[in-house]
Amino acid sequence: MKSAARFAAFLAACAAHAEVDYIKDVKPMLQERCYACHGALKQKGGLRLDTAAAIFKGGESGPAIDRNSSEKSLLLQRVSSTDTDERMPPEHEGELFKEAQVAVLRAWIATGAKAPADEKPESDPRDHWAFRPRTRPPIPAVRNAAWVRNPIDAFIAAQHEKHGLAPQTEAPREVLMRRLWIDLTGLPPSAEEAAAFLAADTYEATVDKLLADPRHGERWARHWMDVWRYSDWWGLNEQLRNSQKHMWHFRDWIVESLNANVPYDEMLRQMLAADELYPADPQKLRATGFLARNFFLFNRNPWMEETVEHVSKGLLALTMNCTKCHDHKYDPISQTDFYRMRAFFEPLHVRLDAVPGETDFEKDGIPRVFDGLLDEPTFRYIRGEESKPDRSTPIAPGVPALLAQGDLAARSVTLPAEASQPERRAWVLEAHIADARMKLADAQDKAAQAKKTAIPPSAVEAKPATGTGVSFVEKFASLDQKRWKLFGSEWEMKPGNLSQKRDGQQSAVLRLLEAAPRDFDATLRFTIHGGSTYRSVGMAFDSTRPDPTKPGDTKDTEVFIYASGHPPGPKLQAAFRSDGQDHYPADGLRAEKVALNREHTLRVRVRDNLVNASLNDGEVLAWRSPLPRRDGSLQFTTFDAVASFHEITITPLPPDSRLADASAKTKPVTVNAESAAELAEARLDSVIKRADAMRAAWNSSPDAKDKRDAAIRAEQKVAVLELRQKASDADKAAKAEKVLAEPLQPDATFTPLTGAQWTPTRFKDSTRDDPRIAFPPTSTGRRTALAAWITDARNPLTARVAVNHIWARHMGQPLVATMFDFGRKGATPTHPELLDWLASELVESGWDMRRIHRLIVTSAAYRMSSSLAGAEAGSGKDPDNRHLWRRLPQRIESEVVRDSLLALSGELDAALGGPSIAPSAQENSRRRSLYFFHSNIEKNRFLATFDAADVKDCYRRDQSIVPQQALAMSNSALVHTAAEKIAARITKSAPEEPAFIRAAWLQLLAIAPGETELAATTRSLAAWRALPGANDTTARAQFIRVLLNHNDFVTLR
Amino acid sequence: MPALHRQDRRSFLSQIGNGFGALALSHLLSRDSVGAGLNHPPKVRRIIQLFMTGGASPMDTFDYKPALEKLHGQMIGPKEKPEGFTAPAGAIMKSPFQFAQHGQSGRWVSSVFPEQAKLVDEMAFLMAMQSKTNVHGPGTYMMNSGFLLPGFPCMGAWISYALGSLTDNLPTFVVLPDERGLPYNQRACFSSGFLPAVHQGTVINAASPQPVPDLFASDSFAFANRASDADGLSLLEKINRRHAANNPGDSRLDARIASYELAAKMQLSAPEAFDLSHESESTRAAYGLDNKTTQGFGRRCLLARRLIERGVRFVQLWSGPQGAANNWDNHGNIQTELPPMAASVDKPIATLLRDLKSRGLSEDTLVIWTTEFGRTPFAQGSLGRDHNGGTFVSWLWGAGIKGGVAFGESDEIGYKAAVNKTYCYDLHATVLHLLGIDHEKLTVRQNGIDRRLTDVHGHVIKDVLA
Repeated sequence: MKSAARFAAFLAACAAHAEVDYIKDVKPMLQERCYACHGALKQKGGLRLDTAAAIFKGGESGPAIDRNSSEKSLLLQRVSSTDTDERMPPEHEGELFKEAQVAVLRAWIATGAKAPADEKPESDPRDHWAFRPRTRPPIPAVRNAAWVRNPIDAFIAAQHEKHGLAPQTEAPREVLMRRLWIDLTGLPPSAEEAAAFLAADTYEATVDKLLADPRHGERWARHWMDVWRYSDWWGLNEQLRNSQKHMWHFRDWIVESLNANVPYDEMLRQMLAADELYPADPQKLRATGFLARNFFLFNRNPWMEETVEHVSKGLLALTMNCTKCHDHKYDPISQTDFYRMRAFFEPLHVRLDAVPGETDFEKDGIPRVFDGLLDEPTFRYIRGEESKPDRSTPIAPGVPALLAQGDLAARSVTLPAEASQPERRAWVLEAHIADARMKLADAQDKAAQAKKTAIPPSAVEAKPATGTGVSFVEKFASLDQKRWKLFGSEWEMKPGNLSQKRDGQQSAVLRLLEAAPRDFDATLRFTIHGGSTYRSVGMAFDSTRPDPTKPGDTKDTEVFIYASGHPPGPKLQAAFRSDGQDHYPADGLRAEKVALNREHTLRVRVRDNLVNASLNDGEVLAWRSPLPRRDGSLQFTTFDAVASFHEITITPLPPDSRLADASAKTKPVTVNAESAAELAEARLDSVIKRADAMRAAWNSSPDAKDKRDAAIRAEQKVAVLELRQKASDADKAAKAEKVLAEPLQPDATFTPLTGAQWTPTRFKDSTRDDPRIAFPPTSTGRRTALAAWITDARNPLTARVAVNHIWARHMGQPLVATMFDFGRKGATPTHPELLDWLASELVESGWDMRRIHRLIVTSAAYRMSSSLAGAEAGSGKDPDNRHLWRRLPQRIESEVVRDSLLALSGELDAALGGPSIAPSAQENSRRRSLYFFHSNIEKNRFLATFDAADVKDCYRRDQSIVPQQALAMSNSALVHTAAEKIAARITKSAPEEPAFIRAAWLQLLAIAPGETELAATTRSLAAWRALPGANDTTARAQFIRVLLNHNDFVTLR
Repeated sequence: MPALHRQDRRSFLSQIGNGFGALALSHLLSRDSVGAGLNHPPKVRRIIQLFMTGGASPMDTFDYKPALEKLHGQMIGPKEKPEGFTAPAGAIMKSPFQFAQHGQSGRWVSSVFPEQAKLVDEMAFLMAMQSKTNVHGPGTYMMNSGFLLPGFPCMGAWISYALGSLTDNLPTFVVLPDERGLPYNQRACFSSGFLPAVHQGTVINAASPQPVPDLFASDSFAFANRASDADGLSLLEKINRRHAANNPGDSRLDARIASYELAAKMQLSAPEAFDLSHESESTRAAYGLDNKTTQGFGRRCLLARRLIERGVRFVQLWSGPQGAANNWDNHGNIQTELPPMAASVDKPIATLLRDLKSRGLSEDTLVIWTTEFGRTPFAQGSLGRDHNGGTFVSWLWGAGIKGGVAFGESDEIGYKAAVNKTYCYDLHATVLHLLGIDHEKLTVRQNGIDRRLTDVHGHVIKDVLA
């Protein structure tokens, strides 16, 4: 608090000049500290301080200033008081005035409190441009009429003329082409599309074609996903804490809605209230993912706050979040308004609705909201503190008074039975039955298979063991290339240790090139240092896979035995590969401690199909491989493990060594498989009977009670069989069996089959799910009312906000810079009439977004060059291009960078929609980037390098320029692979060098190369060809790599 | 920049730098001149910040509270739950660790920090720091950016913005997170907020064999090699030169060329800077690299020293990821959860301080030890402690710091700050002051507000300054 030096300096200044400048020194201070309560927004105590005249006039306590005495001036007394009842600003509303600030006031009053006579008061907040009703402004007449292509240009030209600016010329045709394609589809044009566009003047037709292209929906969906805060789920490890599983349904709804040109207002209605407006339409219910995304496991409060904040910012550009603790300091929004807004959402909870054909909610389900707590009250939190709710007054849903229009009353909605009892949906019970049937068939198959492959124990002993093949101890002094071959990219050889350094879910393999003994005794000493999940190390024999790190052919097989340090279930596992899949039989598993950073010894002995494995000389796991023995490699493997091999010993298995037999240690495979099949059958029976009982109850059939009893019995039978699976549960199984013989208890029930699953919250206790929330038969109708208000044509904000979002993404600069804040503290529009005209077009066209897209991209303003060449006048008068006299070059979004690489390579997978691509699958995925799993925690590294969306808040994308981008573009495997493929692809259509060069420039950068570029490229290609080991192919790939690193590849000019 | 110099540097890089990033060197630009400049002569030019994720317990480390022994077991805590995540307060719990006085200054330190205890006379303690929250995410934001919400630049970014780099070859602001994961808020902790993105923290995984991803092209692409890159250089030079002529005044084009330049320099400098095998066995052992408990944090401390030495302006080290384990968020059992965390950092920190001193780096290096908040003197469950923004400890060491002093006191039981309270604002103001910056003058206008690291608060803590 002590700015003693400054104060002294100030006093010195006062002494020298003896005068304080009201406009420079006093007014800004009062504006910052006092106007929120004593200005146009509010006049507490009847006092305004926004003009000197108002200060003299004072309020209910009289004039704020006594011209004769600064010390007697109320204003001075109040701002210098420390008494909690007296002080201004009051406690909790702002810090006390600093001594230096008080001194300024004192000096101002003492020197006569002079102020200019023509001082204007703050304008009425109701007059703020964004809160005024939207009107349709007339299209201005302009001198530069020749430039005007549509009304947008008239508004822009009018402003040019007002400021003495001239629009830049139209961009070259190839630049316009890339601009259109990337802007409307997020991808560069194909060679054919480019040729067609450049050959004829088809600009307008091309716009229509691209707007109708399904890729347009994907491109613009990503923009709206930014605004609507799309996020896949995240939490701690496997625990879901934020957003929802399967959120991709919401993303697909956005893509599909845009491609169907669903009106903007209708999209908002569905996002806010599809569960009330279309409760029986699962396709539309997906839209409420917008709200389900705000789910937070542990606390209702941040969930509600985020909802209020981002509904307000994203759809209305209101910073309602500022009113959580106090009235808004700039806008006419009270603290109560925050809680009124919250009350619209207070009843909601989240659930997953089953989709046809899937009953496992971990695998699929539509995340959606429903009103679960119909009477949950909303209370204002005193000073925003969660621990201080004002329980005296429940807050009803409502909107800030200034913006109220239309009918805001919520009317309760009666939902169809399918909404509150989703199991009634026609296909739900059938899906459960089909699922149980499939599982039974699977279990029966396995039982049959087990019978076929089971080898009688006697067969093993009958065969003599063989003794050929190498025998050695490998201590890894160095890596003998004749003996071993490595697969995998990050092996490191240091004397005594062969280490696999790469983390992540892939295999790395050390293969023995020499012939291994058929029956062998092999020991591997190793240490696991880490690994993201499975941390597996072991050995494989009879491997017929050409490259054991690649999926390979379905005919290839191998048998493998490994130790896994996977934390929830470390184990020793014997397994095998056939039909292109790895199989992990239950009888090949033994729980073992597999610690990190500790040396382990895995010993495996094999005779025919019999495998004996032990870890650290522990108990022997005896297991029979179902596969016939084949000629194949012996190899040592890691999977998802950072690990070191220290020593390997291999010897032929001595004929006299005794192996433990599988049948002696574990139940024969056939018995397990058969009892599993029996259980599956009982489960199917139970599902069928429960489905029957449920239908009978819905129809009130006379046999409903019988069916119910049958369902209960069938479920009891399942329980018995389940308990029988484990020997340790034998007592429980016997008890359960007794229950079967007794008459049914009157209160006995069965577990109903479900068609939806409530997403549990843990508000009460972070270690336990809260009591289940039922699916009520009615909904409050509150969100329907909110949606009606937001989409009402009279709402002054909604359409303006929407067109600003659309405009910003086409033009690279918004009309209102603060895209989420149209309030008094936000930016003023650069082109207010244009904003209103576009908003009017949107509303009056039935909220037709495609119409707005078309208007913008066909305007002359959109087609301007971004170059500054020959535009000295503009650069001088308006260097920031506030008046849009040229276009600003943009860094393309991260998704466009990656998608363009794939598209130009001819590799892009055009499939639309579906589950998000898991992080582990992204490296090899060829899908568009918007389909990548993207959450607060999981972000693709390449995309993140180029400013992927921040899922918390992304009303405008960053366009950073950092060295990591240079490294990614010059060194990543993604770019290298693309460079090779793009070079090959262009060579195919343009084999001759000059044609190749021209095509490459045009396709990658939208630049028609001049003589200089052609000559330079030709020379470089020749130089690259002349390098040792180089040829035409490598030279061209290198050239493409250079062009991909050109600034204009990541720039939209 | 003189043409001759430029030429020299380029040919030097293209000979040695096995990298495509060197391609853009034709447009070497002089580095951005420093943003805000200095307000007074600085004492500090570089900073290492040690951040204990999860809320390190003050009364079990540096804040000795004998009253807890007397009151142990008594239910005198607040009745209401203070904030969302916090559990109801249990009985008063004394520290399970022995405290003793150390050094000339007689600072009390518990038995969990035997090595740092030997250096207390060089440290200045802030004994009564407060946070505005008891929640990890906002608390971590607050200690880094001065705001509870995302979107604001962190201290490292502000310093990068204000002072720029000391080296051409490495990032200005480097973050070394725990190899087990990022802290609360993930990368948003190191964000440049509304400042240019170039000021964001460069995150380096010290434990990875490839600390900087994509630093070099993989060998598996035969077409990209040293020789072909050398020719690529001349081609891109021509292209860019012409392109810049066609697009005059494009600052983003200039910035992109500069980013390629820094990438190229990183290719030259990073492998050497990140390679700890250059250090002697005895140094590695002193930092605890030979010991499983200390090797993670020790590696980061050693790397921090190497980076500071090579001109990185601000290195931020984290102990502990976010989440339920392996950090300082000891809810379950202080006696079993705290000592392993303390042991993992204690020796490496002491070694780092001694090493900085012996190399003369302490002449202009500041080390900050801090956390996002403290813990309750009341038990959670029966043996743990809950979050407490009421009071916690940070310490400062190095250039411009008065050793052996303690500023502020918590109350008798260590529940709330009592005397000479400080907030992150005061810590940030003091750090900026040491760097030669007046925290009230380092502002950036955003959405009509002059934003500061210290918001509208902050006072330089003169008592801890030499």
